[in-house]
Amino acid sequence: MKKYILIIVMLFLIIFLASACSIQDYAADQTKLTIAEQYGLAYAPVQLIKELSLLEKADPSLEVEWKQLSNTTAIREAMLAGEVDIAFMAIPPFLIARDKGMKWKIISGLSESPLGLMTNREYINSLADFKAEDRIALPQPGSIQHILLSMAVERDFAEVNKFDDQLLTMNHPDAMNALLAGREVSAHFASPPYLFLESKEKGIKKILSGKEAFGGEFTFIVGVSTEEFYQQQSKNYKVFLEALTEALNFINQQPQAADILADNYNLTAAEMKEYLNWPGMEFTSKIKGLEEFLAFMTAEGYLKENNYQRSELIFTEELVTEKKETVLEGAEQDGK
Amino acid sequence: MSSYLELKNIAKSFNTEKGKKIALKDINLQIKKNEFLTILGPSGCGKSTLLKIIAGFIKSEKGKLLKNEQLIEDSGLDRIMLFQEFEQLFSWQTVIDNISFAVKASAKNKNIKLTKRQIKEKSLKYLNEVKLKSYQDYYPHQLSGGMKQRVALARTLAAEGEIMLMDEPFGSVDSQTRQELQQLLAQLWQEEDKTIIFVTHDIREAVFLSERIVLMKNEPGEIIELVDNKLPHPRKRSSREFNQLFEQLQTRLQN
Amino acid sequence: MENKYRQRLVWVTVLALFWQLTAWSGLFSDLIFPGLDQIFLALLKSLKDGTLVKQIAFSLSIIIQGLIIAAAAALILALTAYFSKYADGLIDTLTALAHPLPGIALMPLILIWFGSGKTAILIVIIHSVLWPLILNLSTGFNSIPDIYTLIAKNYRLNKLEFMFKILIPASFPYFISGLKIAWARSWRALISAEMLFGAINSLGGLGWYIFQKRVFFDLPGVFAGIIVIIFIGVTVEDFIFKKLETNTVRKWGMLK
Repeated sequence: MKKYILIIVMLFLIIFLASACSIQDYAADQTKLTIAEQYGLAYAPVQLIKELSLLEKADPSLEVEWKQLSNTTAIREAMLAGEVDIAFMAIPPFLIARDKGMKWKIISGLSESPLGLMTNREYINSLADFKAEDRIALPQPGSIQHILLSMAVERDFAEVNKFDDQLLTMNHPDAMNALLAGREVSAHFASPPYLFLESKEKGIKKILSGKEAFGGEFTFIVGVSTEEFYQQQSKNYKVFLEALTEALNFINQQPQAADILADNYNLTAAEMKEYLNWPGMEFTSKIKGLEEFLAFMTAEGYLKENNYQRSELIFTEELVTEKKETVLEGAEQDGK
Repeated sequence: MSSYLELKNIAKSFNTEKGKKIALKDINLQIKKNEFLTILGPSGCGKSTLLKIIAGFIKSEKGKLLKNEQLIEDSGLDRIMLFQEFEQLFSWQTVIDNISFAVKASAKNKNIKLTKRQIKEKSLKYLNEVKLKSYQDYYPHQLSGGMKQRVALARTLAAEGEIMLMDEPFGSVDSQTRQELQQLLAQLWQEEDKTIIFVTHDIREAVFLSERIVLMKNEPGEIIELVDNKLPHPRKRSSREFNQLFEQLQTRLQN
Repeated sequence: MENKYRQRLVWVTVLALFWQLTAWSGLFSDLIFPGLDQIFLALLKSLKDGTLVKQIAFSLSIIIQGLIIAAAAALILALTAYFSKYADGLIDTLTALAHPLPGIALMPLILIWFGSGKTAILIVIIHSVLWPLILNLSTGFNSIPDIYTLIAKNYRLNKLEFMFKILIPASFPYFISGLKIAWARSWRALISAEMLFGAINSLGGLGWYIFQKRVFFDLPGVFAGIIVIIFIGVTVEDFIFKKLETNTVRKWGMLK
C-alpha cells in the first residue's frame, strides 16, 4: 500500500510542477497572439489583418500566430487548452460553450453573410417537399446552420425535430461534393464561397435563405476571446480590436481589398470582387440577432434558462460599435 | 507365397544446392502378404522416401509399384502410414475422436454406413487394442509421447487397411517406452492379418519385430541385402540368437 | 488469473483516485477536467434516459454484423488462396495493397459510393477487419504441419473434409489471434466512422454519441462515452475471447 501512496504523491508533484511552469509561461508570454479562424468568405477581414500585417504594424514586438482549424469544436477546444487567444465563429456555438461555463465573450461582430439551403432535387421547392429519404448536409449539431434550419422547421411545422433523422454531419467541401454528385445528399445548408459555387451550378437551387430561416438579419461570424485574455492582455486586446476595425474599414472602402484577398481564396480578383459584394455579404462589427438566437436556443433546450444580459456576452460593445458605426455607414454609402 | 506387393525399378532423386542427389537407385523388392518387413539403413539411405513412394505420397521417377499385379499410382486407405511425429494426432480432437476419424474414413471408403454408436464401438475396440480405453476423452496434449503413439497406432489400425506403413514410429520416445511399444506392435501383428513395412535405423528394433529385413546403404540409396529373421516369438533381446543376428546385421551395414 | 484482476482493480482505484484529486485540486477548469462524480452522473443520466443503451446496441449490432461478414469473406478468400495458386496471387496482391490503408482514409470514397449511415460504417468495418483476417488465416493455413496434408491424402479426404476436419481447426490459433486483431481494429474503425457519419439526434452509435457530446461541449458526457467504450473493449477481450480460447485452443493444448 505504501508503494501506491508514494506513486500517487509522485504523480501529483509532477503535475503541479508541470502546471506551475506552464502558468508562468503564460503570464510571461505577453508578446504572442494566437488567432484561430476557419475557411470561408465571411472571414475575409481576418484574412486582411493577416495580409496587411495590421497587428505587426501596430505593435512590432508582437508575434502573431494564425491557426486555421477545420471546425468550431476544434477551435473551442484549442481555446480552452490555452492555445488560442482570439477566435472567430458563429453565435450558436459560442453560446453553447458559454452556457456550459466557458469564460469567454464576444469581442465584435465580423460579418453578415448570405446562407442558403441548396438542393439538387427538382421536386423540392420548400421544406415541406422533403421526403423521408432526403438527406440534408450540415456542418455539425449545434452549428448555426443547424440552428437556422431548426428555426425554419419550428416555424413551418411547429415540430423542431422534424428533420433530425435526415441531417448529415459533413464539412462544407464534402457536402458540396456530395450535393453535386447528387446521390446521397439532397440538400446542403451552405455558406460562401460554397453557397456561391453551388448557386452557379445547373440544377441546384436555393429553397431557403439564412434570413428567411432566422426571420431577419443576423450576424454570421463574431470574434470571441476569453475573459482571461481580456483582463491579462488588455494591451494586445486593444491592438487587435484596432486592427480589426481597420480591416473592416479597408474591406468596405478600398476596392483593392479584392485583389489582396484573391490569392488567399484561390480566386481571380474579379471573382473575389463579385463574392465580396454579393448581396447580403456585409462586413460590420455590429452584433445582430444575439437575443433571437438566445431565445430560440433556450426554448429548444440547447441552453439553460440563464437570462443572459448582453453585457454578459459581449466585452465592450459601446466602445466598439459606436466608434465604428459612423465609419461603416459612410463606407457603405461609398461602396454601394 | 506369390508376391503381394511388388516394387520394380523404383528410383528417386532430389535437386539440392550441390546438384542432383540420387536418393533411391533401382529398387526392386517383393513383399509377401502378412509379412512384417523392416527396411533398415543409415540416415539418408532413402528408406523414408521409399516408404512414401509405397504410400503414394510421392511418385517414383521410373519403374512401378504393383499390388496383386495391379498398378498403384495414388495413396489410399489400403496403405496407411504411421508417422514418427506426435502431431500426427489431431490436437483439437479427443483420443476417441481421433480414432473415429479413421473409422469414418474407412467406412466411407468401403461405402458402408455406420451409426454413431457403431463408430464409437469400433473406435473403442481399437483403442482397447492399444490398451488406452480409459483415456478416450483425453486430448492428445494430455498424453505422454508413448501414449500418443499408441493412439496413433490405434488410428492406423482403425483405418482397416491391409498394409501398414511405419516410418520410425517409435523414434521419439524414450527407450523403455520404445520397448513396450515394440512388444505391443509384435503382439498386434501376430493377432491380426496385416502386412507391415517398418522403416528404422535401429537394428535391435528390426531384429525384434520383423520377419525379413531389407538392408540399405546410402549415396546412392540401394538395397544391399535381404535377411530373413526366423527367430521364434516371443523374442528375447538377451538371447544369443538375437545378438548374433544383431551383430551380423551391424557388420553388414558397416561395410 | 485472480491476481491479475486484483492488480487491475488496485490500479484502476489508484488512477481514479488520482483523477479525482486532480479534478478537486482546481488546477484545471472542470470544462477540461471534469471530476469522476460529474462523469458518473453523466453516465447515469444517459443510461437512464435510454440514449446510451440504444447507441451501444446500435454499435454492437453493426460491429457484430461487420465481423461476421468479414470473417466469412476472409475464410472463403483465404481458402481459395490456399487451394489455387492464381487466386493466391490475386488475393495476396489485394491484401498487400489494401491492408495498410486506414479505413478512415477511404471515408470520402465510401460516402460517394455507399452513402452515409449504416452501410458506410459497415463497409469501413469490413475493410478494416477483412485484410488482417485474411493475412492471419493464410499464415495459419500455410503453417499447418505437412503431415496433415499427407494424412488427408492417405485417408482420402476430399477438399471439403480436409478444410473442415483439418485445415481450419489446425489453424485455429491463427484464426483467434486474427479475430482479436480484427476486433480491436473494427472497434476503432467503428468509433471513428460513427463520428463522421451520423444523423443528428438519431441513432449513430457510441462514436456519434461522443461526437454529439463534444460539439455540445459536454465533457463529462464525452468521458461517459469513453468509459463505455473501455468497458466493452475489456469485457470482450477478457471474457468473450478468453472463453473462446479456453474452450478451443487452450483445451487443445495449442496455446500455453
